[in-house]
Amino acid sequence: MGRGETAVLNLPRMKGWDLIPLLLTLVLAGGLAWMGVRQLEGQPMVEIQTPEGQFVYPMSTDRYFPARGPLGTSVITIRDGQAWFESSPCQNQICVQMGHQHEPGQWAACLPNRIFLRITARREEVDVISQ
Amino acid sequence: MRWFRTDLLGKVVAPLPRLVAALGFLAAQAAAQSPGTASVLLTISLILALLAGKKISLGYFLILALSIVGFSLLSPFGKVLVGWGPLRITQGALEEGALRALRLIGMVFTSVAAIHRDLQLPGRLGSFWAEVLGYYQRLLEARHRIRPARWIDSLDEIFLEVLPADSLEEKGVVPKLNSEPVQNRGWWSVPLVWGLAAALFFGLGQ
Amino acid sequence: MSSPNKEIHGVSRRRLLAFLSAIGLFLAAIEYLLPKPVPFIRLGISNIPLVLMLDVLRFRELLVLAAVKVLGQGLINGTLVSYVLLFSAVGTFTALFTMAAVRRLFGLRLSLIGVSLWGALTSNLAQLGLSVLILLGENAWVIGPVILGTGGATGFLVGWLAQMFQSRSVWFREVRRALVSD
Repeated sequence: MGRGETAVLNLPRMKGWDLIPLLLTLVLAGGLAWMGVRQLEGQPMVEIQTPEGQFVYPMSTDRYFPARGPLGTSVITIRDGQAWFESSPCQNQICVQMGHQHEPGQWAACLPNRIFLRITARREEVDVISQ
Repeated sequence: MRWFRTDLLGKVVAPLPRLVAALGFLAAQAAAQSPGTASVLLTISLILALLAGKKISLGYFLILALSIVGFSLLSPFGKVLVGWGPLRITQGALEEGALRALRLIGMVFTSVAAIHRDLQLPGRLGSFWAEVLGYYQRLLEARHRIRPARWIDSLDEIFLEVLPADSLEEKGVVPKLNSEPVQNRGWWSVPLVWGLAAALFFGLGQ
Repeated sequence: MSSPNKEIHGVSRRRLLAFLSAIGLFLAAIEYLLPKPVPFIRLGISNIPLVLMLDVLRFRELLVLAAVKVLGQGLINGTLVSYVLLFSAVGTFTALFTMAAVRRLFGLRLSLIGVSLWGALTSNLAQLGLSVLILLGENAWVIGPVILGTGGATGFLVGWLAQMFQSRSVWFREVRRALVSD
């Protein structure tokens, strides 16, 4: 009955089919990297500027947002990948008539109530809109 | 300065009621809806874990918490608190990340405070576990004899001593443990802890 | 070749399982003490007994080994009723089922290192998915490449260590001989 050799390590003995999990690991790692990058940059967002501050929300989640301004509350609706002024306390109602926004770059605004909404892609620079 | 490593909780509450009491606290932590409530519960569970004599690596948990919050911030929503160019710290994402971190880490602290190694498992599983622990302790005692340069040989020496192959042929003595035989002390802690958890949960507004 | 006294051999396999479980816990203790630069990356050396015994024990016994490792770690570290246990269970059992499956599918065309690599791959994917679900959210996929990369490296290490031990350990040889005659 022999004792172990004095070497600390042996060379690893691998076989041809060991390559499969190795390659699969690399491929999946690459796939996840691509997925992660897309996750981080792709999503369109709604930016809402109010006297109280700036708010951002993903277009993918439906919600009502009450934007408070000097005249009162303008309600902004985000639904089905679109955003619009649902109602507003202003006289002319131009903001409501501006309709639904859905593409990056599109915007709507209620100037009397100082509420501004804009669609952006996630990676865009934040421009601080001066009031 | 060994006093702070003694299990003060174990002196008054046996392992099983201790676990049952903790379950109520865990429920409150899992259901917490605001970072404020979650942080109060976390603080209490941290204190309890320390009273249980357990070692808590705060640095590790801080990094974990920051990671959870950091990942949450990558999906911004809500009021923009701070922004440099494309990077924005938003209130909604911050609160969500903070809540998740406080909840999960708080539950870990509660678990650490609650679990005692001598918790008795029922029936055959219990006697099997006792056997496992016996071998585990013997391995721990022998760990200094492991030589990295001759790791296989030194491990062989230890293994052959603790469980020689020919002993598999015979019935042997199961290694004994020293453990607290009292399993029923401290059931009063269950309504106490559950009541405290409920009071905090509802009192702090969830 | 069946033994004349089943009861004795029932005890003996049980003692071996208890001992192997203890080794798994011991390795887990070492793993716990090592510095963890990133909270979610685990070395996986506590899986060495599973890999080592994959071709030697019955699948039912490997399940026991895995279960005792997961529960035992939870008891010893005190994380039994926390999310840590969930991650441990998902990781360990995914690895075990995968390794047993590929061993059945590919037989000896895979070395122990290859088997371990498979186990590491699926185990890390499962734990990553769990991270997304309960810990870090959708953005966790970003660290996927890091997890898989380091997981592959440790999977290789585990398989290699198990392979070396298997070929050179006197204790292992004797135990295998005793089991074969069971």
